[in-house]
Amino acid sequence: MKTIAALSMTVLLAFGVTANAQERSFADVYAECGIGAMLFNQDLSGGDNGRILAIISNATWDWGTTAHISNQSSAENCQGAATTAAFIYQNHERIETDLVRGHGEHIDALLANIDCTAGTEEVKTAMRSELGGMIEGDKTEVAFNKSSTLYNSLVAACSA
Amino acid sequence: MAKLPRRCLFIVVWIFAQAFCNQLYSEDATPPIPSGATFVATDSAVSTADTRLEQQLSELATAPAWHKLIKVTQAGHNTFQTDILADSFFLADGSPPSPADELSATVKALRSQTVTGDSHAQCRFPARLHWLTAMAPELAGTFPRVNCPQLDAWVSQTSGKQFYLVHVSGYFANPASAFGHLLIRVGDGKSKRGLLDAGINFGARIPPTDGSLTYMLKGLFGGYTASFSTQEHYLQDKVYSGNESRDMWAYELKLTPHQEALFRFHLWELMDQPFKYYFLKKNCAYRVAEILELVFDSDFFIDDSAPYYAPVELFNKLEAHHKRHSDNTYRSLDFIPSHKRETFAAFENLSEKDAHDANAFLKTREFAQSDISVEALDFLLEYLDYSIQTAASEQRADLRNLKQDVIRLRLKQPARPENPVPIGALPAPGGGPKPATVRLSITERGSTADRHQAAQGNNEHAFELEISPFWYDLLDETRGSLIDSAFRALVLNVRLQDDELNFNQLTLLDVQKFAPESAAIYGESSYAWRGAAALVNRAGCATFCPVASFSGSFGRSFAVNSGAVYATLDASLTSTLAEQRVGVSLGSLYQLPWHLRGRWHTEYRAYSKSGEDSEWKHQLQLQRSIGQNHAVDVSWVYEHSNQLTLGYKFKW
Repeated sequence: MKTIAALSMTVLLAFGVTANAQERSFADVYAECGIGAMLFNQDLSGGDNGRILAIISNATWDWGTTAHISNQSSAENCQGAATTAAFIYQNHERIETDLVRGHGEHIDALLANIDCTAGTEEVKTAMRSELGGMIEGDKTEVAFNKSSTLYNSLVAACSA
Repeated sequence: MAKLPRRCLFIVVWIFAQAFCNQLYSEDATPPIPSGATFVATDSAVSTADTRLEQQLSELATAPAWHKLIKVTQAGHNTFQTDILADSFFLADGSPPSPADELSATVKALRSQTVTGDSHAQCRFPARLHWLTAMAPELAGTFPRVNCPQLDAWVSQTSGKQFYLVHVSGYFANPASAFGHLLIRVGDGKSKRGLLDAGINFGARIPPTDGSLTYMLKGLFGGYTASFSTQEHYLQDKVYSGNESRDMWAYELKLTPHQEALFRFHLWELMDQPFKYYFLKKNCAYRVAEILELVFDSDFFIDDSAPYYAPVELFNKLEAHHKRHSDNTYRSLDFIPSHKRETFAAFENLSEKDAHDANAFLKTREFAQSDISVEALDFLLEYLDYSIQTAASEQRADLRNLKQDVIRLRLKQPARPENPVPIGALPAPGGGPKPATVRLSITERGSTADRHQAAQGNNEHAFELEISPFWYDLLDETRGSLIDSAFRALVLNVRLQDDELNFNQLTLLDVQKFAPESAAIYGESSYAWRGAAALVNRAGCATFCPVASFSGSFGRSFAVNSGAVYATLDASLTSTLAEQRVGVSLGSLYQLPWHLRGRWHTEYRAYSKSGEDSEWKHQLQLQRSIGQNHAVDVSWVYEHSNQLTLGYKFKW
């Protein structure tokens, strides 16, 4: 009966993951860990990945009527990676801004529970540098690609 | 309704007064304990227990806390009712079973050795187990130990964490959201926004095909089921603070270990259970209030006789409970500004040159100055994030490209540590004026002819009574996000004049927002607007002649010292199509010392009806709020004649 709630909580608990657990690319996490079904609810091959924002926004009513968004289970060994990836996807604009400025609550939240061999400031510096490379590239970077860059740079920085 | 004698007004006032007294004195009243709820032991083990234990269980079955745990109330003699729609929530037969039968079945299930793991009653109903252990430790000592992996994960997630009740401010863009919302957060308190906290929400299950109107109708009349669910709080923060620019106030509850366990376990029991949902009363605030009544062992939070329960009422109760219990209900209250408020505060914190450079970029979309400062660039990043969050989807790509240009320039400068921008905390709505309002007023009208009646030889007096379940007007003391704003719903207005009691108006909804933005960011405009729908008594009709009326205003507002100035274009439409009106308005709002608020308002009206002259109306109002429950106001109006009005509001 409480499977969904328990998985949701377990996923949150599992936010603190080791670098090993995250040594998948963002695309791998998406493909293997079920976060597409868990959060994005759409096929990556087409459509606007930003649609999730509209889904959440449009489903919001008040006096206790925020519509439910299904939390479907992901493979147990994916939970930490999927949760990290989902957090990045949902907050990539704010994380990007925080990295560029050098501070902010979203990058702090992302790094708070990540078990990295590198220190927090080193990870931020590495991710900022990686972000610079991405910005010099395609200006039409979509949410998925930007999230992918952020996630993969996080994994690389944590594994260094 | 017309031509009722003056004493009718006094009878009406007396009835309201009685109702208010009942409201006031029922807060601490103990609800009737169901009678006839005799405990009957059906399990053989229990039946062999000693008489003392049986007597104890019989008493426990009538305990209010047990009824709250199983969500059962007495409907009549030996009949019970529940708002839970799933039979699986109950262990005894019956829809719903009696509290005694459910207690018997619960004890039997808690002792069961045939069921194991997460399906065991100890895993499914840990709050019942916790409560029974506290109330009947001898009995609980006979229960087997059961492993509950899923429950253990929930306990690990929430143990040693803080429980927060979060008040989300109203959202005027959606009528259903205008009353605000309530969330539960469980987290370690390290982050102001609680991004990684577990978010718990009570929400209706709305099919994606239901639009606003369908939702309103089905929500009002019980067409939805609802349940508690968990969701990472960053998703809630993103929607409320980001997309909808809504401020929040987080109350960290002050719980004993027993209360914390009861809160945690009861939430677990309720998770995903389907409830009947009613927008006006059986909503998120009501369901959370039920939990608070269980946790604080109190009947303070819910008034069952009231037909509605807005989120702000729960927080009013929370504040009152806090005061009554020596400040022991919550530990802290934190204001969490919306992303918009943070962004605009960042702009106001810029130097004049930086503000100019930032606005120049937003205007030209090019960096005219090569020496633009890091502070200006950081503001632009924040502002463009805010713009992307709130923009229509087709505008986002353009804004993202603009942001990329800022990032490119900013990356040439080093990262820097945070330099927090001070943001004044808005007072929580929970401590402000109460929402339900009755207003009594007396008006003296001068001897000039009015538009619909012949000239009067003498001054006239009229008494008015207005009553509403939810009334915050422009002159109520500013609380929360209702700065220079008004929100009134279901306002009944009756008038006593010349010994006749007449229906005057029923305002269904009246929303006004004149709050200007103080930050002069390029492209940001401060719009003033108003929308209202009402049934009004047709002009000149001395009896009951209601016609539908819709009115709206739209214009600009500007900040001045401790107030605002506004100018709007107005229009009004009535269902009779005989009296359409257009006009312009000019006005100002002032916050004055000693809890005084003032308003000056002038409007010019032109009527579509032939033979009607255009006219001016001038109005000056002053109100003083006295605590959460009282306010007095005085106003002068010139509209064909001079009118002087003295009013008193009682709010509860």
